[in-house]
Amino acid sequence: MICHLFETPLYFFYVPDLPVLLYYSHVPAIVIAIIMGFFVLSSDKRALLNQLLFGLCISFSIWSLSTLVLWTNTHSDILLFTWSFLGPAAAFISILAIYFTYVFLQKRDVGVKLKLIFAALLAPILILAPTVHTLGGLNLVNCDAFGFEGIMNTFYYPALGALAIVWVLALLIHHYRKAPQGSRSQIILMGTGIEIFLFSFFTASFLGTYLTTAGFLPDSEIESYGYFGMIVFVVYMGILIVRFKTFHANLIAAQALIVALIVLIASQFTFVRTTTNIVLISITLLLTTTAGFVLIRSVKREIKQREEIEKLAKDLEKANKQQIILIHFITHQIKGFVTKSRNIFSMIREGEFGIVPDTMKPMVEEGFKSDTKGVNTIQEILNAANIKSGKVTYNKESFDLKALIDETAQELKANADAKGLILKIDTGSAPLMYPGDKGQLVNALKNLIDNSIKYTPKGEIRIALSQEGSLIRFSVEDDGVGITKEDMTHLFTEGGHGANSTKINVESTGFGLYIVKNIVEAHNGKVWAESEGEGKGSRFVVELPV
Amino acid sequence: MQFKKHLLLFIIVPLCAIAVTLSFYRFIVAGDYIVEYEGECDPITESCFMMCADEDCLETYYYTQIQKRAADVYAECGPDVTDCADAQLCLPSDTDCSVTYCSPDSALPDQACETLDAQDAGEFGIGIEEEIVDIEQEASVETELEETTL
Repeated sequence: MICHLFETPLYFFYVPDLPVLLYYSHVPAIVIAIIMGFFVLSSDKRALLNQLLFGLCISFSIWSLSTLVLWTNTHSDILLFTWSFLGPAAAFISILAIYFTYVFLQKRDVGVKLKLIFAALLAPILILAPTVHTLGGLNLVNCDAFGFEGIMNTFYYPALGALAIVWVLALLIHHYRKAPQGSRSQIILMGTGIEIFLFSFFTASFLGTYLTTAGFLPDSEIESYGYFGMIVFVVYMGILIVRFKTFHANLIAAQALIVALIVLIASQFTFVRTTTNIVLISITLLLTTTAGFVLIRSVKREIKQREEIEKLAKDLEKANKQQIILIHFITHQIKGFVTKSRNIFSMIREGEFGIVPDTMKPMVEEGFKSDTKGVNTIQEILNAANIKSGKVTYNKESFDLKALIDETAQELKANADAKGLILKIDTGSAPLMYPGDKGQLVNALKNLIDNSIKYTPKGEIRIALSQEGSLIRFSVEDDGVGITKEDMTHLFTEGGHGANSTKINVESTGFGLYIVKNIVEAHNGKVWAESEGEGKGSRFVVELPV
Repeated sequence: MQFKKHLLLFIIVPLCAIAVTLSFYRFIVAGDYIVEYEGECDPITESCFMMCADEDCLETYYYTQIQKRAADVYAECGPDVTDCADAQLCLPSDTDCSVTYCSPDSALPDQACETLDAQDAGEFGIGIEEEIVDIEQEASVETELEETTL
């Protein structure tokens, strides 16, 4: 049957006296959505995020193309067949928008349960698409089916749209709160884009249907305004692509945006009639094309530079890794040689090769001490390398932390005494049981106490241990050289020497506090330093949760 | 594993295929839907909907609302209901057909049903003097109409 009061379209889609906004809103939106969909998919066919954005763009294009068919065609069978798929296309947009948001935020696919929920939400609208619950007939006078729409079209798919808007918003808020600072701007960009799209699309579509059915509007032209939401969405996705390399795309994003802009401007020719307007649009089109060409060239240059920098960074990282392996190998070898040498000095010192002449004794003693320091230094470097590469394992068991600190402090007391320093130990009287890696913690505590001794020319060192609720607090305070504000910023970093530290302690590797920090953090604790500045002493505090 | 990964596709794609096929069959092949159009109406004997023929409403016309199954209309009239006598009434062979005359239930809130007084019609010919009857007065008009046809 044909709507006898309406003109048959030219080339299936073109009717001269339709609302002017119709082609201007539909054509660019469809073209842009198709370009964006295919371009994102071609960038990385296997990426789920790209597949979902492709699905979203294609569902939108199907919907838009269908509404264009409904606006222009007059055959009732074609109209109803097309109309019966508006609901499913809109439902796909809703579900794919939710699915897309999940994958974008979580960086992985959703679970089976959620997929089943998506399927359960989509199934009714697909099953009932060919039935009277979706569409019952057509009014040949108005050439529309608003009076024959069933519950699926009047209630279900608008409800799915509303659900998608709320669901996506809830997901965005939830993930935004948890996201690190760096990825928040991505969430805002994607979230704003998809929410504007969903809101404008479903609100305009719902208002169009509702107001036309209720007789407030002669036709659903208001729906056309919703299509601009897709253009906004594409612009946001474009920014994501260019700025964050989302969807693994690069240059084509800029090209797609420019093409979309040109299509948008060119589509104005479909409704302008006056010569002035035609001239103005032609000028705008020319300027946009020229500016677009320049933009694409500069983006191309920028992307090339960025790719070169990224390549250099990768090469540098590779070289760095190889260097670490080499240093590890060398230090291992040197440690072997120095250890052997120290053992020889030790054996001479012990008299295993006979009585050592008095003239030789100072040299043997010096050799032994020097080799011991050498072994310790190499071991520190190796420990830091192992921590960095994650090779260190922690075997935690309960032990008396008080006894361990007392023992370590006593061991180092000789060094303090040798420098004329007073070592005060206040670890309480009761044992303090703690579940941790005793061997690693000894290293950390020894490092802190030893540091204080090394960096305190005169005065005293106060070691304290206490328990406050569920926290054990260990501190080493000294009257030493103190720490400047500048040194404080890189104190616990890898190789983080203080500006004057090597002047006072020439054997400093810069790895000591880095190792301490890693060991303490492996026990879920915190370590920090306090100092009022240069020459005002310092205090290192370790807090361990029980 | 692959099934779980593509679970949504395995469920939705067959459903889409079935929906497209059934929809195609229903609307394109079988014509199993209702078409609504305006039928001829004689305001002397029937309560008609009235519509302006132009923007200034200088001319009006009368009609009934007819709903028929598309396949039946197509069999009776071809693709166009214009100038098809069979499309104006419900035939015994029609499976689902109704002709709606103007009444308080069927008229839109701002719409008035239209009848002509039989005597005036006889004197002046059809459409010379019209009596616009508001929805609220419709019941008395219907009684009058019944008396006239009897």
